[in-house]
Amino acid sequence: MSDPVLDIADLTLDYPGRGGMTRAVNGVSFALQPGQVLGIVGESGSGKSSIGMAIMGLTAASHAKIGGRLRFQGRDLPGLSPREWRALRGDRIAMVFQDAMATLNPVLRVGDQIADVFRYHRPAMSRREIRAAVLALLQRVGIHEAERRIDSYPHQLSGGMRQRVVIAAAIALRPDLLIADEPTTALDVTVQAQILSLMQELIREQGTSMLLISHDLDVVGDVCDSVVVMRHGVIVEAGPVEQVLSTPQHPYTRELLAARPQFGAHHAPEVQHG
Amino acid sequence: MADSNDILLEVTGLRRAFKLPTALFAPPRRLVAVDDVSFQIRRGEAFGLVGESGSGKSTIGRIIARLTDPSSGSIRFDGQDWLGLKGRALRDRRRDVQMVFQSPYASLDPRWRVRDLLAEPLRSYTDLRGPALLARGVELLEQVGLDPAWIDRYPHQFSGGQRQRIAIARALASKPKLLIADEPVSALDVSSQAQVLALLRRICAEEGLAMLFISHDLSVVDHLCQTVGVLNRGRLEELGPTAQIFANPQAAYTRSLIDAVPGKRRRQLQAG
Repeated sequence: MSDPVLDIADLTLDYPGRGGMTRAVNGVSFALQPGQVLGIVGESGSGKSSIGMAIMGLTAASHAKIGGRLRFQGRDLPGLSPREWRALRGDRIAMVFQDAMATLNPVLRVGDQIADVFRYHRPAMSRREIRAAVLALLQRVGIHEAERRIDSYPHQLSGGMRQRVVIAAAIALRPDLLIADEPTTALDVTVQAQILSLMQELIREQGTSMLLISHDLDVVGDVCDSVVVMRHGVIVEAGPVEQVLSTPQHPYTRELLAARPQFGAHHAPEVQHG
Repeated sequence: MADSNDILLEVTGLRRAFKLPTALFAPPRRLVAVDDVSFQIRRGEAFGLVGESGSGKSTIGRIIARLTDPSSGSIRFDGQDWLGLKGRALRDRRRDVQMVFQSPYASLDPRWRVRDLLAEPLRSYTDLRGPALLARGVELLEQVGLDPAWIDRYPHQFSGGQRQRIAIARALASKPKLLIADEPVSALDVSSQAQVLALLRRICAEEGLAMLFISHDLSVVDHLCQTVGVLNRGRLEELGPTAQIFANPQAAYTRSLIDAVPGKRRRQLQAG
């Protein structure tokens, strides 16, 4: 068996706050194998996003303390210097957030924002090469009239198109790991379905592994190979998606499944007239 | 068949066009956001309006709530020409149609206590004052499943689901006949979604309240609404009983919406 892309064991995350440290993640362990998609499911406050932030090295700003093992391709992440982090982030590990409007800089053209990834990580590329690469990316993520859109500002694009731009920037350097934190929660169903299938195609094409963080077990079920269910900073259940969806063991998983009305079950109550 | 007394809201030929900004001297461009839409809502019925962003569903809700005017068309509400109401007469009847918006983070004033948030609609729409007003506020909180002891808290002290309950309590203050809920659970996570939906369902049954439920989430509409209208680019593509339309969609657009509903793998696993 090959080495996991991500190897997490007994991970703890403590944030400083008034009256001492608050533990957001408490002894979490899982591994992500190359080319696999793992979902982390939980409600707001379950600690699921904190894990993504820790892998991206973004918890240092909030002075969080990381305990336990957090390894990416065999390298110990918390031990990296800021310089090593910057080399890794955006290149080997990339992230897509929920809110594309907040991810993109409103005063920069979208093409320039994707180009930044190349300028920073591939300084040898010429301007012409970068522009060609950005155009190819925009076309690949399904943006029509890419030659025109490359010079658009974020506010000139729809929510779905903006998220496509964010995805283009994330996959620009064919990362080994893509972390997607609620990537479609702000979008409506049809756009959500399009974006999810685009992400699935891209990671398959590039052999990228993905960590999908979501509160929606239906979305995770459609996209992921395995799933980790979190609550209050701990894993309550983990396993292959089929197993967790069809025979959930933990009451909380059952509760999450029951919380989502099943499409096609027709529960709408009768109207009383009298 | 429902007789005419059963009909609470009757929308006929509703149309709303917007002028789009264009360059100086360029010919004006118009966007028809709502195009010849007609439907009825019976008393006590939950009517779902589904469609993608930009389909015109929120515009229809806002027209019925009299927050904006249509370009043409007519609306009868509770036997009255609803669009003909103006000034004082409109103010008096606004109590009958209340709205719950998507984001309880945006719809509740962060500097007001729950007490004040509830007192505002009660003062505007009822004669209650002083202790009677407070008592009604407490009753509303209980009705939406919140602890009345929290009446002096501010919105930021509540979770998203609890805030939406406060927004619902505010909407119920005037004892409306129609509740317009525009994506009321889209900003909430799944567990809070389920609780708020159960609350809406219970309240509509208890109060005999009709609801226009605007959503892009077909599972939720399937769960909550007896009747559904499918809106595509301002036009009503399909209209009828929810169970029938979702089981046997006629329009290609409805089928594409159904195909996009997440949870395919779960449905397959649970089917066999």
